[in-house]
Amino acid sequence: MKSKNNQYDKPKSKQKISKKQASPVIKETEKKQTEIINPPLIDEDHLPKEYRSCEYALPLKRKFIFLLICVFVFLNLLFFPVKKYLVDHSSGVDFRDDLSLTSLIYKLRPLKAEIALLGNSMLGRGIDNDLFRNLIRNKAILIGPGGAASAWYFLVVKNILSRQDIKPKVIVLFFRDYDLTLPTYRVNDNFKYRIDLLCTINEAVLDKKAYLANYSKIELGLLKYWPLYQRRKDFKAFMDSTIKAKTAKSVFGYSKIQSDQAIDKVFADAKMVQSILTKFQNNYEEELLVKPQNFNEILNTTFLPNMVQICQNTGIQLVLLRVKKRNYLDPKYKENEALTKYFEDMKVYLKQHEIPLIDFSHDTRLNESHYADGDHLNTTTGIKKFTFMVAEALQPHLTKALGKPVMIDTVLARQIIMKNVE
Amino acid sequence: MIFTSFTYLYFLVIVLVLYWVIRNKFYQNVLIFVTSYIFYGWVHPWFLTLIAASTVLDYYSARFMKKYPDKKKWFLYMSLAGNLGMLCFFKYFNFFAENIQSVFALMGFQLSPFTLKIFLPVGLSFYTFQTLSYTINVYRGTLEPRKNFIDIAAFVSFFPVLVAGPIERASNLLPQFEKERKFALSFINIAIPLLLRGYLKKLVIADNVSIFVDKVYMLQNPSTFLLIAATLAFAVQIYTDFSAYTDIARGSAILFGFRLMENFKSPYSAISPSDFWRRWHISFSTWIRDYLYIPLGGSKVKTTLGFFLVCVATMGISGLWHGASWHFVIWGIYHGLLVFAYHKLGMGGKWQPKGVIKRFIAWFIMFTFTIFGWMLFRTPNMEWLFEALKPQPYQIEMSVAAFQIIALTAFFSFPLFLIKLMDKYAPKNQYVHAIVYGFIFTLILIFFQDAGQDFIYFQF
Repeated sequence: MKSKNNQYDKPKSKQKISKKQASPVIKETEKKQTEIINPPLIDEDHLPKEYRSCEYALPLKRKFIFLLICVFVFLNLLFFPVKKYLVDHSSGVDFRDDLSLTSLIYKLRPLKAEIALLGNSMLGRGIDNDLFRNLIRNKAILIGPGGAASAWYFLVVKNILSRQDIKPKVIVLFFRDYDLTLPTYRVNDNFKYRIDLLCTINEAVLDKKAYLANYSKIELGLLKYWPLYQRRKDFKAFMDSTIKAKTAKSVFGYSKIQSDQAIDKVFADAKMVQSILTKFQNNYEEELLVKPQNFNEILNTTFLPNMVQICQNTGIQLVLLRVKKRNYLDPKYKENEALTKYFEDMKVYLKQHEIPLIDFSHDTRLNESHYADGDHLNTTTGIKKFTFMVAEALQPHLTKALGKPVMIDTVLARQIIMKNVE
Repeated sequence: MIFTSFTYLYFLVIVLVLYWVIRNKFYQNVLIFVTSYIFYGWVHPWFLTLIAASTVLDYYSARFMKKYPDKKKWFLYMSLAGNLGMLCFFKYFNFFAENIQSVFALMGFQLSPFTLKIFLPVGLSFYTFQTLSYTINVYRGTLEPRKNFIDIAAFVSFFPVLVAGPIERASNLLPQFEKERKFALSFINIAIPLLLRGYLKKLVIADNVSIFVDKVYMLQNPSTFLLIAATLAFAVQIYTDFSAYTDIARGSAILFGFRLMENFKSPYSAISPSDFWRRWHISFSTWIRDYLYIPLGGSKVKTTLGFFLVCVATMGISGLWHGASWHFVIWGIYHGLLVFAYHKLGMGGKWQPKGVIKRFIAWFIMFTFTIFGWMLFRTPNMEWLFEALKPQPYQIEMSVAAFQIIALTAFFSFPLFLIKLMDKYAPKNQYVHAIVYGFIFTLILIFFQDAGQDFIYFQF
C-alpha cells in the first residue's frame, strides 16, 4: 500500500523518495522461512533508526503456541496440589499447636478472673493492673500487648476468653476512634506471627475479613482453584529466605538464624533516619486510621459483630471503652463530622445489643501532663489517674454484670486524688 | 491509572476494540484524544486543565507562526513561556523559594517563608517537552503547523507516552496520526513480547529490588560496601523500572499502529559519558542535545571555558528536570563534568577504544562513574551521602546484608539476562522463545500485584 502524499511533507526537492512500497515486505531467510519484517503502514525509510522494525517479534505459529502452553502448564504443575485453606497460619505452628493454644487458656484458668480488660498499648500503658484490682476489689486480667488490633482482639475473645472453663463475666475492650472497624489493620508482616499463634486450623471468619477482604471475586476464584496463584506468596517468601540463607552460609558460614539476626540488627528501626521512617509510618497509618468510615456500611465486614455474637452466646458482658487521643487535648481540635456520625451510628448499634460505651475522648480530667509519647500515658501520674477514671466509670456496669455490688475502694481513691493526680 | 494494574488492562482492551472497530482515521484520533484524557484525569481530573492549556497554546502558537512569520519569534517565546512557566511553577516554585530564602538568610536578611502546597501533576515534565518539540520545529521550519486540532491534541495526550515518555518528536509521531492505520497481525507479534518484557522488568525485577534499596537508603550510617551493593541494586532498579514503562508504552502504542522510539539501548554497556547518553533515556537526551546543547554551541564552542559551561549548564538543567532538589542538579553537573573531561581527553563523541582489554577498561571506568552518579541521584540528601561515605568501623552484619542484596539482585535479574541471551544467540528459535516466554509469563503471574508500586519516573 503506497503512502499518500501528506500535505505537511517537506517539499519534494528535499525528500528522499524511497523506491520501497509501504507494504508488507516478505523476505526469504537462509532457512527458507518467511517472516514479515515491516508492518504495512509506514514507510520506514523516513523514520530514524530508533523507530524501525522491532526485532522482538514473536513467531505466533501453532507449534510455538503449543510449546508455550506446554511450558506454562508444566510450570503450573510444580505448584500442585491445591491448598485447602487459602491463608496459611502455619507460621505459629512450631510454637503453636492445639496444645499450645490450650496452654494459653490454661494459664488464665488459675486466675479465675471475672473481669478481662482487652486492648493494645492504650491499655497496657494506660492501666495499672494491680491498682485497678485493688480499686474494684475484684480479680481482673489485663491483656494489652502493644500493636494489637481488632483481628487479634477477635481471636482472643473467640479462642481464649470464651473457651475458659470459668469465663470472665465482663470483657472491657479498649480502643481509639476507628480501631474496631479496621479488620485488615496489623494482620501482616511482623503482626502475622502473633495472629497465627492464636489461630486454630480453620479460621474462616478471620481469613475472610482480614486477609481476603480486598480480593475481587475473580481473584478469590483464582485463589481457590489455581495452585500457582495460591502459592505465589509462599514461593516469593521461600526464594527470598533461601537466597539470603545460602548467601550468608556460603560467604560467612552463618546459619539461617544468625543471618536473620544480622539483618534485624542492620535494619532495626533505631538504625533508620527517623524523619524518613516516621514519614513512611505516618503516611501509612494516617491513611488507614483517619480515613472517614461509615459505621453502618462497613459493620459486617469487621470483627465487631462477631465479638458481640460470641459474648452474647457465652453470657459475657462486653463493654467498649474509647480512650482519649493526645491530639484531642489541642483546644483547636474539632472532631470532624464523619467521626461524630460514626459514633452516633455505633451508639445506636451498641444500644440494640445492650453494650455500654464509655467514652473518655472528650474527658477534660486528662491533660498534657498525663501523657508520655504519642497517645500513651506516663507512669508517674497519667496511668494512675486513668486507672481511677476507668474503675469509677466501670463500677455500675460491673455491678450489673457480676450480679453483686462492686464498690470502689474510697480510701485508695482518695490517696490517688490527694497525690495531685487531678 | 498505572500500567501494572488490572484497570489499565481493561482500559486498553476496551479502547483497542473500539479503535479498530471505528476504522476512520479522524474518529480514531478523537477516540485516542478522549480516552487519553480519561486516562490522565483518572485520579486527578484537574490535571486536564494543564494539558489542555498546553495543547491550545502550542496549537495556536504554531498557527500564528505561519500566519505572521515576521513575529514568529514572539510566538515561540509565548509557547516557551507558557510551557516552561507551567513546569517551573508546579515543579520548582517551592525549590526556588526555599533557596532564595536561604541566600537572603546567608546575607543576614530573614524572609518569611512563602512556599505553597503545590501538587505536581504527573507527566508534566514529559508532555511539555513533547509539545515544545512541535513549536520549536515549526519555528525552525522543519515542520509545518497543523490545522487539525484533534491531531495535535491526540499527539500531545497520547496515553502510552503521556506520563513517563518516551518524549516523542512531533516530526516522528505527528505524521503517524495523520496517516490511515489498518490492523495487522504483526502488531500483536511485536506488541506481546514488548509488553511481557515490560511487565517482567517492572513486577519481577524493579519492584522487588526496590525493597532493599529503599531500606539501605533509609539507614543512618550504612557501610560503604553496603551502600555500593544497594547502589548496584538501584542501578538495576532504575533501569528496569524506566525501561519497563517504555516497553509497555511501545507495546501498547504498536497495538494502535503507532511506532514509538526506543528509549534505552543497553546503557550499562557504555564506554564513555557520551556513549551513555546515547543509550540512556534516548528521547530525553536527544531532546536536550537538539534544543539546548547544540543551540548553545555544543562541542563546536571554541574556548575551553565556553565548552565547560555548555556541558555543565546543559547537564545541570537535565538534572534539575529530574527533580526539584540539589542532589539531582549535582548529579546532572557531575555528568556534565564527565562529558567535558572525556571530550578534553579526546574520548568524547563517538570515541571507540581499540582492543578488547582497552574496551573492557573503558567500560569498567564508565560503569564505576555511572554507579557513583546513581548514588548522587538516589541519596535522600547530600549530607546523608557525605556521612555514609566516611570511613566506618567494620561491621560484619552490614557485609552480610550487602552480599545478600547482591545475590537477590542477581537472582531477580536472571530472567533479563536470559532474554538478552535469547536475543543474541537464538533470536528466531521458536523452541527457545516458547520456553523463555512461558517462564516469563509464569513469573509475571507470580509477582503481579494489582495497583502495585508507582514507576520511578512518574515523580518527574
